[in-house]
This record gives sequence, C-alpha cells and structure tokens, in this order.
Amino acid sequence: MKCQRCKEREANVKIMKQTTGKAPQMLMLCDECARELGIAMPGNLMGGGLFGSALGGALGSMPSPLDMFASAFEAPFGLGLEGMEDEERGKTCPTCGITQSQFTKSGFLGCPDCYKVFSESIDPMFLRTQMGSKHVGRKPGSGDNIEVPVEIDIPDGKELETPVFTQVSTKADEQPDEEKAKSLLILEKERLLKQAVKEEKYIEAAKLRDEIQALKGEEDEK
Amino acid sequence: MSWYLEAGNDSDIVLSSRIRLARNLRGIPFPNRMNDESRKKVLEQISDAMLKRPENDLMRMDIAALPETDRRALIENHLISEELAKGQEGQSVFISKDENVSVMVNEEDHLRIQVMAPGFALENTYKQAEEIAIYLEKALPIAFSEKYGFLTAYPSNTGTGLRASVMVHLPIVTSIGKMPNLIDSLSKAGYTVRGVYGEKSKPAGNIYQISNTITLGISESKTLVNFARMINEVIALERKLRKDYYEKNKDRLEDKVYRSLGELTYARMLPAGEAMNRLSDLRVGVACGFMKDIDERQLMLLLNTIGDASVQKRCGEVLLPKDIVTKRAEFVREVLTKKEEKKNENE
Repeated sequence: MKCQRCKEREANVKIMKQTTGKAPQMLMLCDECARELGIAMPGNLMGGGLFGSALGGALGSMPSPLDMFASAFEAPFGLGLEGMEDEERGKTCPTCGITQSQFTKSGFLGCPDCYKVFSESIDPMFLRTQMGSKHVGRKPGSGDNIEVPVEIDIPDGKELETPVFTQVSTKADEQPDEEKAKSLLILEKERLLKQAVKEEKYIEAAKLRDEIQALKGEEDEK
Repeated sequence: MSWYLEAGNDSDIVLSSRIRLARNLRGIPFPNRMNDESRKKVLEQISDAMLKRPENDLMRMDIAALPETDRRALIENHLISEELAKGQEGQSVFISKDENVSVMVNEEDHLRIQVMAPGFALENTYKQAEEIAIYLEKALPIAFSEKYGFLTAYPSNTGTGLRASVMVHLPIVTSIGKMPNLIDSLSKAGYTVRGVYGEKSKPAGNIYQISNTITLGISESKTLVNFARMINEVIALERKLRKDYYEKNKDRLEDKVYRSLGELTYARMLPAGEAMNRLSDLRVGVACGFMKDIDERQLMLLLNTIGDASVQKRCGEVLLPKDIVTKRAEFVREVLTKKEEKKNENE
C-alpha cells in the first residue's frame, strides 16, 4: 500500500486513532513521512551509523511506542483528519488571522507572529522532529566564521565498518537545552496522559504514566 | 560559462552541491497568506535592496512575464521551484550570469537564497549564500526570534533556514538493490533523499538529491560538518561498491557501458528517462577509467540540458512530444561525437 501522505512511497508505518464512540481511524505512512510528522523521536538520530543498516540491516524498523501514535494525529502537517476535538483548536493569530485548525490542516503558518501564538503545539513538534526547540545558529546580519572539513579522508571504504556519521551535536552544544527539552517532553506527555484518561485509553495512559515517571526519575538522579 | 561545466571535487559521485537559505520579512504574512497587492509590495522592497547591493550582479526575472517553456527550463536548471513557476503577481527570481545563484521572491517564503556549485563544494557555496543573506538581513527587516531563529512559513525550515543538498550519482548502490536501505538509514538520521527535481520527482539516471532536514537546535557550521561527513560516507560506499563490482564483472560492465554509448550515439529518438539512464552508464564507464572516448564534462552538459523544456528552448519553438525525442537524440549525438572529431583533428 502507498503512503497516504506522499502517495508515492510504500507505507510501512501504521497508525491507529481510537476515540470512544467513533469508528477507529487508520493512517498508513512511509518511513520518511512518519519521520517528518515526528513519529520518529529525535532519539533515532543518535542511533548507530549510516551503514550498519544500509549494508545489511533489515528495513523499516520504525519505533512504534503508543505515545507517538496520538501525536501523529495532532502533528500540524496536513493529515486531513478532521473532527479532532481539542480546546486549542480555537486559537487564532491576531496578525494574520490563521486558526489552529487551518495550521493543523495545511502545516503552514500564516506569518512570523504565528510562532508565538501557536508555540504550545509547535514546541512539542520541534522536540520530536528537530534538535530541540531553541535556535543556536547565526543571528541576523552577523557573520559566522565557519570551517567545513569538506575533505574528510576516508580511504577506500575502510572505515565503513565504524562509521563516524551521526547527526548529533557535540555534548557542549547540547547541554544547556537538554534539561529544557526534557521538561517540555514531560509536559507534552502529561498532556497526552490527561487526554488518554479522558478518552478511556487506559493501556496507553499507563504506558505514558510509566514514561513520565521514568523521565522524572532521571531528573532526580542528577 | 555555465557553472556545471566547471570541474568539481568528487565529481565521479557528486554532480553538484546546493545551499539554500530561507528568510522572511517581519510583520508581513507568509506568501501562502498574501494577495497580489502584498506580494507586489514585498517584491518592491526586496528589489530595492537587491539593486543597492554593492555587487549588483543578479538579473531580475518576473515569472508571470515568462512563457511556459522558459519557466519549465528554469525548473530543469534548478533555478526556480514548481511553487515559484506558478507565476503569481510578485513572484520573481534574481539570477546570476552563470546561473549558479538564484534568489527567489515570494516562493514558500519571502526570500529563498540559493547557490549551486559543481561537485562536492559546501563551504564556498555556503559562504556565497551567506554573504547575500547577511546583506539582505542588514538591508531588510528580517523575521527572527531568539528562540526559533529565522522564521519560515513551514515550521520545519525554521532556525537556520539552511538546506544543504547534493546531487549524487549512485548507480551501483541502486543496481545491487541497496538504495531502499540507504534511504531508510539516511531518513532516520535526519536526511531526506529525493529525485533530481525535488520533492515529488522520481529518481532518473540513478541520481538522487540528499538534503538535511534539521534546522533548529543546530548551528549552520555543525549542519554543514555533519552533512559533509555523511556525504563522504555515501561517496566512499558507492566508490567501494563500484570498484568491487568492476573487478568482479569487468566484461559485463564494459559491455553495458559500450552498448549505452552505442545507443546514445545512434538512436534517432530518445525519451528523457532513457537518455538519463544511458548517460548514467557512461558516467560509470568514465569513473571506472575504461571509457576514454567521453569525458565527464560532456556528460554534465548533457545531464543538464536534455530536459523537455531545455530541448524546446534550444530549438526556439514549441515542439510536439515526438519531435522532442528526435531533437534530443540529435543533440546528444552532436555532443558525444564532437569530442571524437576534435580528437581525430588533434591526431
């Protein structure tokens, strides 16, 4: 079956949304769309090197924890799934007039001010799809003396067994944001937990509760 | 001279590199929420700034004023996108003389600065794009937030607004069936793989476009370093597989490449996809060192100029599909046999 989002690639991620009193909704996605929609956690980025799976590994081992299912349906990327109840749907940007549901449907924001207005739904999405939700790059008008080691010597594929490649920033880059990212993640999971309880999805709720506890536990240990 | 005819690094695998920076103006809706009037205003504002640039070397083209063939040709040369080709009021592009720089106005974002270079060349390409970006950031009120960086219409571009891409030629990875795995691992690592003509296009001639997808929480330099490192691994992979494959299947590979040369030199009708695939074979022959009649430059010229619109533009008239394939075959023949004539003259 083709992916329902790009309608091009083979779908190999299946997402179900179960709401009480309603028929279950199903969504089939390909890996790439699933990743863009944030079903793959940024954690995947830290996963092994490029060639571990490229050369021999099995295909399509997408993570499928339950908590990401719900978020896929909320990800503002034009899934075209109407009829989702959420108090936040009512928000409207005062500058350009775009509503939360328009944003959810098209995936496009209307103007720069939208980032402030919809930050509550944007931040968790960034946590899933980007490396946190804080800009660390250049500021307007300022130069950035970059040095790119374009010529990295890899002799005859010898290093293919131990690839150097990961999309992970160095520890120094990451530290300040990590804590913030985690607390945002906890907040997001707590929100999903409330929703799961409301919708009587207790298995999912239990799982979320455990994950929240685990995350909080990590914090306490520090 | 067109930029793609210059010699580039690692050009046995990497055809070209591209950097794109997305920027928007403060306090103005993004293009998806603009009307003709506001797009026109933004274009004027940007145009003013562009004209005052010290090295005012870019030429403005208003898309609405261009015939369809010209728009298609600009897309084939990666100078504009499908989105800009719609040609709504206020959609324009600024292009440099050798067509390596293009600044799109009112595409998905108000500003898309793009610089291309032959081969694997991220550093200089980025610097060139950044220079234009810095100038415009000083000249115009740019939408920027301390938290989210440069703000873009599609949230997945916000932060640096930087998209680095390379066109890579991966015939052997493809032919031994490793491409799905490679795409899969790249995608999980925050990179996307597409066909030659962007988002929805199908790969032709075993050429793929690889780009980064992460723009927030990572600096420009880190993005480029990680990207370069990853591309180096892809290069090493294809090179190693090519070497092994050629060693084990010498006759088979040479046969295939020379048959493709035969087809390209003698065919009288050439569909674009077929031409791309045969040119892909020739590139392998050149890279493996046994195909000496043809050089990489001729192949680069052909790969960049055999699209339907480019063929029509060269003929200066609107052609029927059956005539396009004929004209394409004619042109391919001309380019591939020219070198041999020159060689004969030298001898």
